[in-house]
Amino acid sequence: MRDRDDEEVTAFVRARYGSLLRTAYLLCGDQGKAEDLVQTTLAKTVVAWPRLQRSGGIEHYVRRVLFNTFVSSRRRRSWWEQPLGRLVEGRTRDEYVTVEQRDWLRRALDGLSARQRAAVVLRFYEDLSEQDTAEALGCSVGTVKSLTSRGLQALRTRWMEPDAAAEHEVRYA
Amino acid sequence: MPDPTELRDGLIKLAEPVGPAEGYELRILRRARRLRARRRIAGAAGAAICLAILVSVFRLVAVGPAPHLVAVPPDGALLGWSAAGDVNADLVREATEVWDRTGSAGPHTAIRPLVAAHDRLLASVVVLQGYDEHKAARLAFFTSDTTAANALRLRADRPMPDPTTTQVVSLVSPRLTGPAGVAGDAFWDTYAIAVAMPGVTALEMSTTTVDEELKQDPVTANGRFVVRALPSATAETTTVTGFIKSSKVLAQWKRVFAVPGDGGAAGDAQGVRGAVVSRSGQQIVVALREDGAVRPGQLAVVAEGLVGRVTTIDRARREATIGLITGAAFAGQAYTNISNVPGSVRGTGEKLLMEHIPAGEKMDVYEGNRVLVADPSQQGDQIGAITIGRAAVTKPADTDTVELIPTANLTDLREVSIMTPFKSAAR
Repeated sequence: MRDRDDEEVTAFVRARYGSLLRTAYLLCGDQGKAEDLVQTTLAKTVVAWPRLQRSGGIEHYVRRVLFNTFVSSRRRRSWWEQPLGRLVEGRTRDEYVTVEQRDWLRRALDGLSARQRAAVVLRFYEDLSEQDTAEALGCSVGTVKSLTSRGLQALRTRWMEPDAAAEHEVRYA
Repeated sequence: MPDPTELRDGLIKLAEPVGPAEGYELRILRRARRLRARRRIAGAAGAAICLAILVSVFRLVAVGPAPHLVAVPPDGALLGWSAAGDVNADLVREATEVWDRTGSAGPHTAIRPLVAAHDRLLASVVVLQGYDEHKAARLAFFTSDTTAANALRLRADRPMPDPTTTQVVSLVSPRLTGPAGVAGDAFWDTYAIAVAMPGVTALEMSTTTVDEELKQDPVTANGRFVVRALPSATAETTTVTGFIKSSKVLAQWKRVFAVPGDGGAAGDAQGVRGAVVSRSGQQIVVALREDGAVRPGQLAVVAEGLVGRVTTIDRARREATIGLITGAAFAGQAYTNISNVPGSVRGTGEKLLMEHIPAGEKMDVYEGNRVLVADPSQQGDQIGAITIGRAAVTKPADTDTVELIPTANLTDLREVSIMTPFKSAAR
């Protein structure tokens, strides 16, 4: 019974790891942190596996753990790790436009709050409805609308003034 | 970022290059094992904490059997009790000297102090037990004489009560503050001293001669030794109640005894007990244990109040006839406990009336007011005055009479005490 469970959970981990890692990367903006987030999420899923199998809703559980862990980690970090303006870690601009756009998007996402970022990723990357996003974040649909709207607004603001933002970041760097 | 579609494409492109590193399955399973272990430890710790809290609650909070008083084996013919509180050796020495000089035949030996301490109300209180020169066990109470620089005076010197069954010893008297045998002047000068056996955690002394609101300190006192001002009280109208309580939180007080007070101070009136043997109309006949001091006109009382007055004595049968307070033959002077409103009381054959109440300011009698009758065996109207009844209604302004409800239950009398003066009482 235990071996069968192990096989099933290992198969689930292999099937979901890649996509979860990409979502986590969009949330964290760093591959190392994304791997840590996904491994934590899946470890919790493995521990809860027998219960999840009985109740169903594994996908929902995994998504909820992923986003809750992300938001919690940002909240925990915030009291001792104070960001110094918009410090850029010596990263230079890519010469190519697509690369530049990816670079810009990563920095723009970094400028969002954890919950705004989670809402944007769930809505526009995971392509979830507002209802599903609300369930994943453990909040109301109205809150999701508000988080998404403010997140998009922040992204648009940075889109309109990319150069000014860049100069600001470089000055701090 | 212009629109949601473009944002979605951007996010897909941004996440596209990210791929899993090798060995992630093992890392996840290792993390899961650590998480399980941590949860097991946390669960065990939580269970241990819950168990500890549960055990603490059971130990601290009053759960389980109620505490009980453990008998103390006697010390020969003396009480085997330890002293209550710290013993003042100087007071013991002084009291022993006074006892040998003025009390039962001395010198007294094997003296064991039950109390030897200074006190807020009586300056000093000493209670000693020991043997007199005839090897008889005795119990003696001493208090300070405030008119003689607080020198100790012997107040009562009694034979030792049964050391195996006694739970409390007490002395109720109006003669505990001045020279030996002299009553205090003030209404408040009657005091009660009580010492209970070890294990008793609180004592309450109450009297039926004064309303609760007139008592100076009606709160139950903690400890085995208590001194209390009980205005106008006598041993017959005083009850000493002992309580025990464990040290656990929320533990309830448990009453372990309620006994009449003890008297016998030099100069005090003494009650002669008599068992009720018959009743006819408004009279009862009591069989006396000793009839030498009993005379017609003396008052018969129970703890709750006045029963009646001795009318005749049959020396041959050692019986006394007592006319009840509700009988037509009963009459006397009385006053209210609050405001000292005077009047006379009279039985009608069925009821009890207070009459001839003066008109005027502060001469009101309200429903429930306690009415007292002076005891002719006492040296004063207020000392040892006995409650005869309570006003049944508030006295109307246009009348000088009010009906009283007797405080003693006259329909169920089994034993009464006849108050005899000190001089004629056997010592």
